[in-house]
This record gives sequence, structure tokens and C-alpha cells, in this order.
Amino acid sequence: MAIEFYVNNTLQKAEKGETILSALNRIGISIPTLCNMAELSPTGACRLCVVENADNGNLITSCSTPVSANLRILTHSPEVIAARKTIVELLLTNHPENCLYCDKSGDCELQKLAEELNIREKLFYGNKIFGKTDRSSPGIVRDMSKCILCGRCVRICEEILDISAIDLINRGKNTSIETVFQKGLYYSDCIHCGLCVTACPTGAILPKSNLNQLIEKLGDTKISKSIVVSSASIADMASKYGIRKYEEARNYIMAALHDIGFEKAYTMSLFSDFFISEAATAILEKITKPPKPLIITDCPAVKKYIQTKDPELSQFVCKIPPSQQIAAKLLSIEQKTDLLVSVSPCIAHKYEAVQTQNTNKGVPEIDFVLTSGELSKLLKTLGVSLPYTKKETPDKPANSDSSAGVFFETKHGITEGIVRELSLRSGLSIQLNRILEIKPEKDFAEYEFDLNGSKYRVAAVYGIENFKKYRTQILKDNYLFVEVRSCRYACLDGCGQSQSVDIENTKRLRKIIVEYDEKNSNNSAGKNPNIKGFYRSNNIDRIFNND
Amino acid sequence: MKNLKDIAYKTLFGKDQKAFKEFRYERSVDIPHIFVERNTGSIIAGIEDTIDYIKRYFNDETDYVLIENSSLGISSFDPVIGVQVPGRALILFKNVKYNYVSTILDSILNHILPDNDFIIAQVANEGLSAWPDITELSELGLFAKQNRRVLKNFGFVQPESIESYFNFGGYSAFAQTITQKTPIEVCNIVEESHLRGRGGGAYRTGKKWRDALNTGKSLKYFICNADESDPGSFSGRLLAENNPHLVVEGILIGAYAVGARKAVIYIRNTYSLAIERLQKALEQVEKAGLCGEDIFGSGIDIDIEIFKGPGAYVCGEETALIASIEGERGAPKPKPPYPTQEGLFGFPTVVNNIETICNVPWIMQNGAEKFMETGFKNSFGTKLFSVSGKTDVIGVIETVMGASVNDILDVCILDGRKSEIKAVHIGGPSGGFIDAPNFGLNLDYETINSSKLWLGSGSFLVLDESNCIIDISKYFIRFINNESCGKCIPCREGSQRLLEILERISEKPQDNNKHESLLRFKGVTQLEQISKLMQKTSLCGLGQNAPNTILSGLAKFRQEYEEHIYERKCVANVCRNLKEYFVIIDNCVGCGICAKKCPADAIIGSDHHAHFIVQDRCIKCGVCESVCKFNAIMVK
Amino acid sequence: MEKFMESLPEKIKKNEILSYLQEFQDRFGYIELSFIELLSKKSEIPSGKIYGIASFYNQFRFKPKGKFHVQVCEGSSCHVNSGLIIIEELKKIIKTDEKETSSDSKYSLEIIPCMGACSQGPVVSVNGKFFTKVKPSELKQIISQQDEIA
Repeated sequence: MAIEFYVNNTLQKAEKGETILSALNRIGISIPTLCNMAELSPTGACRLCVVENADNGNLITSCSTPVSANLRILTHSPEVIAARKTIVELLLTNHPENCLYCDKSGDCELQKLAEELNIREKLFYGNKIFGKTDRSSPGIVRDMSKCILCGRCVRICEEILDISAIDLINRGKNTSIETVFQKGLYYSDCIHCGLCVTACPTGAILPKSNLNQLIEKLGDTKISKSIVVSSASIADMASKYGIRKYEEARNYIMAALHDIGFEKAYTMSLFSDFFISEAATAILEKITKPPKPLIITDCPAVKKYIQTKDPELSQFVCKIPPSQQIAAKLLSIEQKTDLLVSVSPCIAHKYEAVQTQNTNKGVPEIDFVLTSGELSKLLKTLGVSLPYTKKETPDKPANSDSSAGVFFETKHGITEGIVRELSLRSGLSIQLNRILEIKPEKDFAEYEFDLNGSKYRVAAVYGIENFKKYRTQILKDNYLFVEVRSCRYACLDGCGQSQSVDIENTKRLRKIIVEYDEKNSNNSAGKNPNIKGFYRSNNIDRIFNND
Repeated sequence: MKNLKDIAYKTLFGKDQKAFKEFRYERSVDIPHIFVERNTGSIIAGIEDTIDYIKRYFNDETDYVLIENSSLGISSFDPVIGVQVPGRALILFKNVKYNYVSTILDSILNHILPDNDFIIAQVANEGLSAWPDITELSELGLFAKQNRRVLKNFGFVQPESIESYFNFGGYSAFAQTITQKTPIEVCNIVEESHLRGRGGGAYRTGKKWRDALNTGKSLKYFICNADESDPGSFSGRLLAENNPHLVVEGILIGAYAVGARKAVIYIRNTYSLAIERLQKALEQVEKAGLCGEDIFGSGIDIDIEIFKGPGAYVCGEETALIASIEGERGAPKPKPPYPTQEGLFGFPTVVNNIETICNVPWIMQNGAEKFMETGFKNSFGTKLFSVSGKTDVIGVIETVMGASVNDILDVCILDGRKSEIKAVHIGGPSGGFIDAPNFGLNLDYETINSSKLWLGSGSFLVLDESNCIIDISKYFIRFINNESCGKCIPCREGSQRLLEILERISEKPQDNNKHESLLRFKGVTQLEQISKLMQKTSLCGLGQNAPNTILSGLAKFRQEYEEHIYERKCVANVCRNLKEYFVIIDNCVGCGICAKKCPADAIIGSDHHAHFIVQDRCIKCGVCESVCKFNAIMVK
Repeated sequence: MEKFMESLPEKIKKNEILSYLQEFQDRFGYIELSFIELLSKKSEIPSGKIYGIASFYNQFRFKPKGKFHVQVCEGSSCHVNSGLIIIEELKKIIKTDEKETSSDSKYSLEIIPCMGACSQGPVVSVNGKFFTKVKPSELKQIISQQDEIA
């Protein structure tokens, strides 16, 4: 606390080099901004964070100006308010103003700002420059007419991911945010991780929703309908509706889904158990072969990333299909259904479902992939509120699960699940020795464990940026396997969750799942009776080959 | 040719300062010498054809010498040629299109003066007999009223010859500087001279240099900003094209002063001739040992390279320019950090305008005190103005810093038409209007700033009654709207709204409903609100200065605005969409000439019958009105 | 074009990208997607970003030039001599917009901030041949004349 300065005539202190904005936020004064985002470099593009320099009346942007000694600023002087108001008014003039029909309505930062600044009258009139809408991606829709060019999506794609699937193009009035040669997201380097969706302050980038088609289909009594819900989505619902326990929320949701027209409702955790079991088999096989790193992930974004940006690594990726597709493949054999819906916290799953290997003669195995947010909306539309009036367990074969399959979607879920399975199969109690401290915040962790007298090391990485950062270490360090996921908190902070993905909320979700795991004795995939049963009755020890 | 390095050394340090006498125009010639001013402007005006015809005229039969010369700076004289016949003084001709070549050469080679209309002036000299009744160039009003310091040798020095530049005393300033002065001394001299940035920022050059020098970092950059792209500003192109060595010398001194080993000339890719000549100059300089490693054994290394700016007005802003060299989008960044602390690739960087740089050799040669002999208030030296618009002379002129608008008009308006001048728009898109009653205004930085205007890179657009203030404002705002980097909201969205408001008042409404009229009136009141926002909150100078045109127009030509708004009338008859052309049926004899000339095929009718103008097609160019011999076209 | 692409060095630095783009455009008149992708591979800068950078500047066009490349000056000196009408009319006659190429790939249009002949405005050039002090009524002839010559 080296520098003294005055905010609205009150003496305050700031660190040397601290920006005015961060000092003000620390003090507790809220300053509106549209382009600023923690973790991203300031650009000074939106100019909403201006404050008045009380000494000369100049307006300075607080996001990019460091505090200087004895600076005197006014944060909400009439001059400042007038400038902010005019800026927002200018933005609104070039905005479609169809908030009633916008998916972002109620959650839109521009809308909130207009309300905060008390803009209740249309001031400027003029032509609207309408950008194109890019619907090429199965997961993300970019409606450039709603874009205010704050550049958050561009910076997040560049600075965090270093992918730059989208960038600002042209300049002046023709400035827009586009993919290379404006070919559309699907044809770009986009990995569909959805970070841009979370970054966008307006409705310009949204998950693609086909809820209305689904609702239409639900009314069709001639077809059979099934739904698979992932545990991160269940946790999301639980936290959203104030339900403390995972199994409670799960059973409410299952009952509600049955009532709105799904004959069968399953949990994804069963199929995660399959994934773990298959992965464990592959690893045990690998131990006997010369070592090479095995990248285990069920994250479609990570896979797309490796495929487009780092194809060298493709050979190391475990070929087992992700849980969602295991669900589709197994259900098509065991419980044939006309309509299969998957609910996931993830936008990339929408992309995954339409990949060639996951389609049957061009028809996707999964008909609809909903995000948690869409599930919440679906229930709302159909008049269902949680907690529901009754509880029902998931349908067979998902009627039994292991807590490892539930834990799967949290941080270190894959690692934990596989190590438990290895321990179960070897009949030894494997102790995971943490080489690096694991905290939910940590984005890279390393473990070590003994198996049949040998020491093995494994690692887990979260976030594409960290995957890149630790790439050489992953290749060099001779890990037994490496868990990689594109979201910082595995699937819990997926971009399709119904609530904002801040740390506090993510911790709540994790707690719900951890509690379930702790008191469940079926804590390994192999302890799930239905898994055991499946392999035994089909007389196989694996479904998928990793060659 | 002798070793250029030896010659350079001898010229700059030895007694042999006239080593290149053959490159000067003063000497007597024994065969005819033809000087052609070849530059972008004259190429467009047709100098290549002229040169072709000159070559054809002599047809290898007569001995003659053809020399490519620099430009006098007066574009309206293009194409210019100079002729020196044995024994006589050099005489300069203007507007020599190819078809006049033989006429002019026929007479002048026979010592007869051709038509007076072609003659600019003569350059008399000792031992050469002068032409009778022809003014001396320096006595010609156009030049006598200027104060040509930077442009001193323009029209004489040969742009592609370092020898010619040596002969005019070139590089001696640099040679003296690097051998006799320490970098801090150079910074001090430049600071004492009060030289200020000529690109518009008006920051003290010496101070900028010292800031960079004092960072103490080992790697620094010196950038010459020649990315001139304001409409109506062409002085930078003139400097780079016609005297590239002057630019290079200025850069060498500047780079030495700030301790930069690397210098970059940032110049528009469309300035192909300037780039070509700068490249040649750099090759020559390197051969002469004036650039590169260990210059004159001083242990100083300076490398100069050319960066071809891919074209964006906003790259005139230094942080945007740096971003562009780094291979980024040329969008400005928030300051601080200033480039002198953290610039190109993170190293201290000085960015100076090309005109500023061209002043440096003069200062080093003549001293700071001498530099300050001319000037006004706190602005010293001279300033280049790119004069265009409704004047007799279009081109670059150089006057004392702080000269008044009147002074400049006196230079470039020859026949007392000055009373017809309605306004002058200075400073390009960031500048504003000065109306006739204020023509006494001194154009120095302080006066200009206190009048809420902007000198910019010295564009000087002269407007008379046939120009509409709203139209000109629209032109500049449209330019800003296109050239804004698109990053910050006030500039991007604000300029769009300003443009629309101006368009609304200069157009006939589609239908005259109340809502639209209300919008029109409301818009005008919003002009000031948006302008103020742009000035106060835009990220860089582009947006902050963009509303100057509107605000100065509103302040000084309110009446014109009101006429547009209330009476739907454009006195200058420029706002095309406010007027409609009609055929007066009684007058029309059906000759059909208007229909033939109409570029938009908007006039229909059969022979000997009254014609009709289809309003939807009419582009309001006014050709029909001008060709009609029967006064049958009416403007409403 | 392939030859040129092969002649590029293995690694390209970020600050060299613009000059390679310039060289490519100088040779072939426009920027190809495949070239951006090549640059992206060699410089390890995402192709989306390179496109974003290139599209910022006037110089780069992403469609091949037409058989007749028409340039028109929009400098202030040309403007005060009814340069705007010239630009608008040109767009109508050759049926193209700025940086675009007409659908029959006959014409392409480039608007230049200042061509540098302020006493000669309005200036139009077709495939490098200059026309000065152009009047709206002359435009059609200028264009069709070039057509005939070719």
C-alpha cells in the first residue's frame, strides 16, 4: 500500500502499479465496464470505466491507468455519468433491441447497464449495421448484430487459449468479429470449448439451442424417448434449486423427466463407469508395453484441439469414446429408443454428437444434446419446478452406479476413478501419493503410486492453456497416463451450466458430489454390479480397443 | 566511378567540397540540359509522355542531357521541365504536356522564348546570360513570400543522386554531429531549438529524444513516420520522393542522438516512387559509409530499413504505428507506457514525423538560436502546408511558423480572388474550419489549440462559395468513420451517428412526416453531445479530434447549417440530394443534347419534343444544366 | 503461386507477416486463404488472427483483381471537385464496391486516400493508366474505351 490517492474526496491507498479500476473494486466502488475481464489484458475499448480527474476535469479510463500519487478522482460525477450514459446510448442505437426474443435477456450486461444508468428513452436514431449470424457450429451461435465489439471473446480465444479462431476483422464502421475468411466457426480452428460464450456480455455468442424442436417431439406419443443426465448437470440443478444432496436432486430430476414424457431416464455416471473400466483395461495393457504417454480425456474440446493444433499428439490419445457416446452406443444395443437426449454441462458435447464417428449413416446417435441451462429451461417451460413432488431412481441399467462415475466429472475425476479401479483389480490398496499439492484451484497435478512393486506417476491438466504449458513435461516425464480437460474445473464449470461459472459456485457443486462419493461404498467402477454384469453376461473384458 | 566512400569522406571532411560540381545547375553547359521534375503528381499529370516526347525530339541526333530533378513542390505546375541551353540561364516551364514539347524546345533551343503561359521563371547565375524580361525564381511572388528552409533545394537537388545531395552541402550536418557532438549534446541542441513535432502532436522533439536516451537501455528504435494519409496532405510524399537523402540524414542524426541502432522508415505502400527513391538513397548511403556499421570509425552502428505501411490512417498514431510494425492490427494502445519507455518490441522507441526529421539537419548546421529566429510565440521554425482546393496554386509551400491564414492565401492566390474565399479547412480530418473574418489567425500551435483546432500535418484546404460546409464536414466524418480502428465505442459509434445526422440534414426526406422532421431537428442538437463525448472519452487523438470539423463548422457557419435544416437548401449547390433538376417544357426544343450527355441515362424524350428527367435515376451531376443552350433545365 | 509458396523460409516471425502478405499481393493481386494458412503454419500464429490483421489494412484484398483494376482517388482535393459523384458513379458503372470484384471478374475497384496529384483531381486510373480532371459524364467512355483497347 504505497500510494495515496483520493476517491470522491476520501483518502484511499493503492499498490504501486495497480490500476485505478482494481483499486476501486477493492475499495468496493463499482465501476461499470464491458470490455474488462479478469485474466485478460486491458484494452480500453469500451470507455465505460472512465472516471473524472478532479484536478483538470479530464476523463480517464480506470482500467488502463495506474494510480498515481495524490491523484484525485470522482467516480460518479455528473460529467462521468453523462459520458457513460451517452456511450451506452450509442451502443443501443446500433443494437437490434429485440431483448424480448433474446436468450440472454435478464442476464445481459448491456441490458443491466442501460437499467443502471437509467436509460429509459431512445435518444439516437440511425441505421443499424447488422453483422452476419454464424450458425455453422452445432454448439455456438454468433449473432454479430448483437455484438458490441468489446473484444472479450477475441482476447479469451487468443490470450487464454492461443487459438484465435475468431478475431476482429476490418476496421472503422466495418469492424466485426469473424473467423478466417468468414467461413464460420465449424470450419475454423474453433475447439468449441465455449469460453467465448461465457465471456460475451451480450447475446452475441450463445449456445445453440434446439429446445423447441425437442418440446415438439416430447408430445409425440408414437416414439419412445430416453434421456441421459450427467452428474455435473445434476449437481448444477441441485445447487440452483437449493437441494443439498446429489441423490435427492438426481431422483427428483429422474421423476420429473419421466413425467414430462421420457420413458427412460438414465444417469451418465453409469457410462462414465464404463469409460473408467475401459481405460483401466487399456492402462493395464499398456504397462506391459514400452512406455508412451497415454492421454485420457473424454473432453471433445481437448480432442479437437489436438486434432487441429497439435496433431503430433494424436497418437497418444486414448481411443475410448467419451461417456456420452458410450451411452449412445450401449443404449442402442440394450435399450433401443427412437429419441435419445443427453444433458451435459458442456457446449462441446453438441459438437461431439455430430462428428462422423458418432453418427449412423449421417444421423447422429444422440438426437439432442441439451446443456444444463437448457434442461433447467425445459423443466420451467413444462411447468416443473424442483424440488419435485416425487422421487424416482434412474432406469435400468443406470439404476446402480458407483460414486467414481459421479466423481468422474469433477476435477481429477478420471485419475481418481482409474486409480481406484486399478486398486480394485489388483486387490491392493493403492495409495495415491501426491507429488504436487492438489487443490481444486490447481490446474496441473502430479501423483505417484505403487502397483505390484513398481512406482507409477500420473498427471492431470485443466485448461488448454495449461495443457500447452505442460506439453513438454507430459511428453517427457513418462507418466502412466495423463488426464486432460479443457475447463478449469473439469466439467463442473462447463460453459453450458445454468449458473455463472464462478469459483464459489463451482466449489458448491464439487461439495455436493464429494459428499455423495464419501459416503458411498460402491466407490469404484468395478464395484458397480451392472458393469460387472455387463461384461460377464457378454463374456468380454472390454468393449473398445485402444489400438 | 571513384570509390564513393573516399569521395564522401573527402567531401565531408576534406577541402574538396566541390567534388561534384558537375551536378549543379549553375555551371555553364556545352550541350542542352533538360531537367524533368518526375514525381507522383507529375506522372499522373503526364510527365512520362513528356519525357518520351523529349527523347523523341532529340532522336539521338543532337547531344543533350536529360536529368531527373526534384519538384519545386507546386503540383499545379505539373509537368514541369527546366531547360538550360549553352551560355544561358536555366529556365523553368510549367504544364508541359507532351503535345507542347516540340513547340517549347523548338523555340528555346533557338534562344527564343516560347509562349509566356508556359514560363515559370529563370534561375540566373554568374557567367550565364539571363533571359530578358523573365522573373528570377526567387523573386517570383509565389516563392519570395515563402520561407523555404526545408524545401530550400527542392527543384534543384536530384532525388536519385547522393552526389547531387553532397553538392548542396548534404550530410555535412550529420558528419559534424557524429564526429563532434555527444548524443546528449544533440538532444540539448534540438531541445533548445524548441523544435516541435510536425505531425500534429507538437511535442517537443528534443525532450522526446532525451527521454529515450535516458532510459539507458542498449537497444532502441528510431522511427520516421512517413505514413501520411490525411486527405489533402502531401508534404510527406514530397519530402520522401524529392529529397530522400534529407530524410535519411535527419534519421541518422536522430538515431545517433537517442542511441538507436535501428531506424525504420514507416511509409505508405502506395507511395511506390518514394519507396523506390528511399531505397536507392539507403543503398547509396551505405556505399558511402554513412550508414551501417562503425560509421566514420566512430563505433556507432545505425541500420535503416523501410517498412511499407499497408495502409491505415490511424497508423499515424505512434502506438498504432508500432503495433503495425510488430505485425498486429494497427489499433492504438492506451498510454502510458509511452513509446519512449516501452515501444517497438518493448524497447524504447522514438517516433518522429518526416517533416520534423527534415528540420533536424538544418538545426544541426545552423544552431538552435538561428532556428528560433523565425516563429511565433512558442512555435519556431517553418511549417509546410499542403495547399489544395480553390486556389490558383496547388502544392506544398513553406512559411514561417505562425504565419497567418492570410499570409498563406497571399502566396497561393495570385489574382486578388481572395475575397471569394469563404473558409479554409486546416489539419485534415482532425482539423477544422477557419472562416474569412478569422483569416488573420496565426497558425502556431498555441493559437491553433486555443481556437480548438488542429494543425495536423499541415493540410490547407481552401473553400469558396461553391463548397458546402456540411458537405466538407460529411466528407471528413465519413473518412473518420472508415478509418477509425473500430476499437473504442465513442469513436466508432459516435462517428457513425454524426455522419448519419449530417446526411439527414443534407437530403430531401423520403416522405415529409413529422417523425422524420423531428429526428432531423433532434439530430442537430445531438451533434454537440456526441462531439463532446468523442473529445472527452476517445482512446486516441483520432477520435478526440474528429469532432473539430463539426464543432468549428457549427460555430462559424451556423447559418449554413440552419439553411440546410430549415429551408432545405444548399447555397453552394453541392448537397445534391437536396436539389432536383427539371426540364422547363416551354424552353425545351428537344435537341437531345442533355440526354446524350447524361451519365446516368436519366433524361428521356424523343427528338424535337420536350424531354423529361427521371428523378430516381438522376445523380444530380448538373451536366444537363451546363450543356443546355436554351436554359431549359431548372434546379429546384 | 505454388513456387512462391515453396520459396518461403521454414520459420516466419510475426513482424514479417505483413511484408510476406504484401509480397504475395504484389505478385498475385490478392490474398489467398491457402497462403494465410501457410503463413499460419510457418509462424505458428493462428490463421484467424492473420486474417484479422490483414483485413485491418486498406492494402489487402481477398478477391482476385478484375481484368480491369480501377483506382479512384478520394482525397479532399478530388472531393471538392465532385469526387464523390465520380466514386458513386464508378461503382454503378462497373457494378463493384470497394475492395470487391464484379461478378463477371471484369472489374475491380480500389479507393485510394490520395493519389498525390491534387491539382489534377478527380483522378481515376484503369490498369495504371491515369485520367485526370474526370467529369461524371466521361466515366462511361473511359471504362468502355479500355474495354475496346483490350
